[in-house]
This record gives sequence, C-alpha cells and structure tokens, in this order.
Amino acid sequence: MGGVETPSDLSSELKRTIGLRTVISTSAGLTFASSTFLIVVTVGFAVGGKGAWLPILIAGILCILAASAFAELSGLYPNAAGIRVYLQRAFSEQVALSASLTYMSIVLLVVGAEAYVLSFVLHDAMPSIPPPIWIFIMLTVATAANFRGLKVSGALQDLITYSVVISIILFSLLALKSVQLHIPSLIMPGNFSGVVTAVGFAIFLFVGFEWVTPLAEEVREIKTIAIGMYVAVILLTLVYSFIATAMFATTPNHSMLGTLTNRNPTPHLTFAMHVFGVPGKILMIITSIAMSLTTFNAGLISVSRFLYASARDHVLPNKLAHVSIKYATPDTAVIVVYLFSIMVSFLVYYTHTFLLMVNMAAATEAFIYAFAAAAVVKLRKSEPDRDRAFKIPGGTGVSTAISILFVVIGILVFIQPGWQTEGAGILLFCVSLCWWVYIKRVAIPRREQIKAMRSSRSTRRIRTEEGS
Amino acid sequence: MSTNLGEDLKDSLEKFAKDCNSNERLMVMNKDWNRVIHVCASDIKCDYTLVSKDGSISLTPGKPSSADMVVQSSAEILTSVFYGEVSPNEPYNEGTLRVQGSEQDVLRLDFITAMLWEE
Repeated sequence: MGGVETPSDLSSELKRTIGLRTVISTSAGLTFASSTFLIVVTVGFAVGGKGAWLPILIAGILCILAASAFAELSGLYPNAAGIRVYLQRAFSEQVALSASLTYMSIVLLVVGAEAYVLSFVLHDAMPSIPPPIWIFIMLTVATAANFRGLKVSGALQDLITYSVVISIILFSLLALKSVQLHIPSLIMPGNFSGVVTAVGFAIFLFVGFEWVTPLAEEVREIKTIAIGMYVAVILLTLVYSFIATAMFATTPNHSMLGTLTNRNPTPHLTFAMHVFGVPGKILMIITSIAMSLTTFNAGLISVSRFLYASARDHVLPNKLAHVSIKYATPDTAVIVVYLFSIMVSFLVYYTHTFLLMVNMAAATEAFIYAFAAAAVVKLRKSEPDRDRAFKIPGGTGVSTAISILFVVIGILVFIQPGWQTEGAGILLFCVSLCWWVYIKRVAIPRREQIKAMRSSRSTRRIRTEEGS
Repeated sequence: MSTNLGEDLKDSLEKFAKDCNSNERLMVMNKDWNRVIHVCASDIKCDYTLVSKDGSISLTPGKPSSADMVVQSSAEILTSVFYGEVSPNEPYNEGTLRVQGSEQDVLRLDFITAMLWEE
C-alpha cells in the first residue's frame, strides 16, 4: 500500500507558523528536566568526576546520528503519530504497537521520576511541606492543566528553553570562574569501561529530543525538523558538559552523590548553594521548576493522547477514548495517566528506585533509536522512490551501523553491577513481553473483528447506493 | 469512474457536515473552534472546503485560499472516513491519510469523528 502523494501547491495555502527557533526550543526543552542533574552526577562518578564531559560528548554525537534517522523518517512520513507510523510502515503493526506502547510506559516512569526529584526541589524551597505532598500537588496541577487542554505554547516554550540554557551556562561559567578555571583532571576520564558505562547513562540526558517530530506538519519547511534536532542536541551537549564540569570542579563530590542506597535527589541545589549561597540556590530552584514544567507538560500530554489514539484504534479499552465535551480533551486517558504517575512517583519515593527508572528509560531510548535507524534501512528498500526531505548520507550502511550501535548501548546499560541495572533489564523485558502478548492475543484479533464489522457496513452502503 | 468517486466523496462530506450539525454535543464542543479545512482527494484531483464556525460545519466545493488544516488521501479512503466506515486512525497510522495542521487541530478532528461514530 502506498502513501499519500503531495501536490506541490498544497503547502502554499496551509497556515504554518512554526520556525526553526521554536523547533530548537521544543526539541531541547523536552529533554530538560530536574532529574537530569542526578544523571550528570551519576555520569561524573562513573568517570571519576571532572571528565564527565567526555561521555556526555560521546552520547551527544550518538544522538546526532539518531537525530539523522528521525529526520529522514519524519520527512518520509510527516505524521503526529511519529515512531508508531515509522515502525508500522517498516516492519509490522505488531512491532509498531508493542514498541510504542512500551515506549509510552517508560515515558510515564520518567514523568513519575521527575515528580519525585522536583518534589525534593520544592521541599528544599518550602521545607514545611513534605515531598509526598509536593508530588501530589504538582501532578494534580499538571493534570488539571492537561484536563483543560492547556499546552505550553511555542512562544512560552522558547522563553522557557532559552532562559534555562542561559541560566545553566551562566551558573557554569561563574562557578568555573570562582576556581580560576582550574580543573585538574579535566582530560582524565578514567578507564575505558567507566566511559562506556557513563555513555549509557548519558543517553538519558537526551531523552525526548526526537519528540519534536510530530511538529512536522506544522513547520514552515520540513527540513527545519532535521536542523532543529541537530542544533538542539549540540546545545544540550554543551549545556550538560559545562554544568557537569562546573559541578565537579567546585563542589565536594560526595555531597552531590549522597549514598548509593540513598542518593541526593537535588545535587544541583547542593552545587548552587555551595558556590553561590542562598541567591544561587533560589535561582537554581526557579530554573529547576522551569525544566520540570516542560517535562510534565510534554510527558502527560503525549502519553494521554497516545492512550486515547490507541483506544480509538481499538488497541486499548474503548473507555480510554472518551472525550470531554467541555474541554475537548480525552478526559479518561488523562485521569488514567494521572493515577499511574502518582503511583510511580510514590513508588520511587518509598523504594529509592530512581536509578532503576533512569536505567529503563535510557535503555528504552537506545532501543527506540536502534529501531528508528533499522526502519530507515527497511524503508529505503521497501519504498525507494518515495520523496524524502532528508536522507542520511552514506546509504544504508550508516543506518545499519547506527542501529547496531544503539542496540549495544541499550544492552550495556543493563550489564553494569547493581540490582537497579539488572532489575531494569528484567523489568523492561517483562513490560515489552506483556505488551507483545497483549497486542498479539487481544488487540489485533479485536481490531480485525471490528474491521470486519465496519467492512460489512461499507458493503451495505455500496449495495444501498447501487439499489437506489 | 473518477466522477463517481468525486460524487461519493461529496456525498460523504455532505453527510458528515449534516451529522455534525445535528449533534448537539459536538456543536457545544466546537463552538469556539473556528477552522478552515481543505479536503483533498489527491488521486482524482478533487478539492472541498469544510468550514467550522460557531459550532456548525459547512461544505463548499473547491479549495480555500488559506486553510488551517489539509486532509489528504485517495477519494476512496476519504469517502470511507467521512461516512464513518473506517476510523481515520487506521489510514493515518498506515500513512495513507495525511492530515496537515497543528497537533491540537488534528486531534480535534479525530474527536469529532469519535463522537459521531463511537461504538
């Protein structure tokens, strides 16, 4: 089955409003989160502190390769359903649904983990309110906004993202200035295995940059998506490299880590307080809230809309497709996402399993990138003549290499010592397997049944028309 | 053949507009959703314009000078979608139905079809 041919005169009449600046801010903004500072510290400790910039740089380069795959796919199929459509066109419905449902489950974990971290940031600002209450308040407020269909607009996204970038770069430069730019072991990242381990963690710092691809139908020029993702990944690499170096160059390392069983959830506040005192800490709290705002907004909206779309597609129970007349939002899906996010946040809070969530997210992201690159290879073969706004240079060999590379990185995340890495591997396998079996045994047979019913309705219409 | 397909598409769009205008819940939901939607059957080069204004939907032949959304596919698929025989998600996820416009508008159009033909 072929895709849709695009007449050349369509683009001139459609009102398109999104330019490069907003594509960059959306791509970078979706990855910014308060929880990334914990990963910066984790990456730093894996390489002995000040060499943290190296695994971040390597992860950034790898994510540029992944961005190339998404750029080609979004140019080929500019569609808000993104990865699901790419995988369905390249492989099968079974693969597409299983992978995208697993991915969305993990995004939900990321939202839960983010709520956990931000609750400690807010608790630091207002110690009289304990973190679990903050978790409840934040997720309730974010869900209320989602329920009413409020979305961070392009202009607000620009303001938030570029303010966060400026704030973190300023924090980093001023902190480095305070030690007269004296960074003793800047180019000593330790042994090879430490760097490899850290690259796996550092992938988490870029989670979500590709979520900008649903904007493919809103941008003035389709190539803007590719350019925007590249610039965003470069920007993120710089921002995280700077802050990692500044944190480890200025602040006692163990105060940022806490203990292995009880990690310090707010190392960025520890850093800001240590270097700049109370004013610095207040500014860092504001920066942290801004970073979490876009994560909540994007995470809750993406997952609830995905649940709704899957229910509409008869993959998930029909109840999830209910729409609020008043707010024109998928209300049941929004509430289900809210309940799951609360559950995950409390689970992380009481079991201290933040790293388990992060490991799952980092590995899932690596596997999704591997899938995307493999889809590029498959679609180059199955749909060679279809228009591509962007093509990965170097033919299918480069895409194959990208795919293999990310599979290896995904596996490496799980083979580090510690139950939170092995456990993450087992849990991710179980989640994927559950979705695979559910899709195969329940969703696809149900969809076939509904399709057949609809087809008979269509036949009836044609017969009626013929009769009249 | 293409005339028949064009007529079928026109009938389906007329029925769609009529169904929307007789659905009170939909009219309430869409009272602030004022949009111009270009429906384009790319295989038979046939265009229609759906205008959503103050909760009601109207249909005119031809393409608009400026659109908020473009719904594009083959005449057969568009006809099936606007008759409610096929969920728009199906061809959309297969890449055979293209909907250009903001994510929120695309979702709103899907809400409309869901409310018209929810099972």
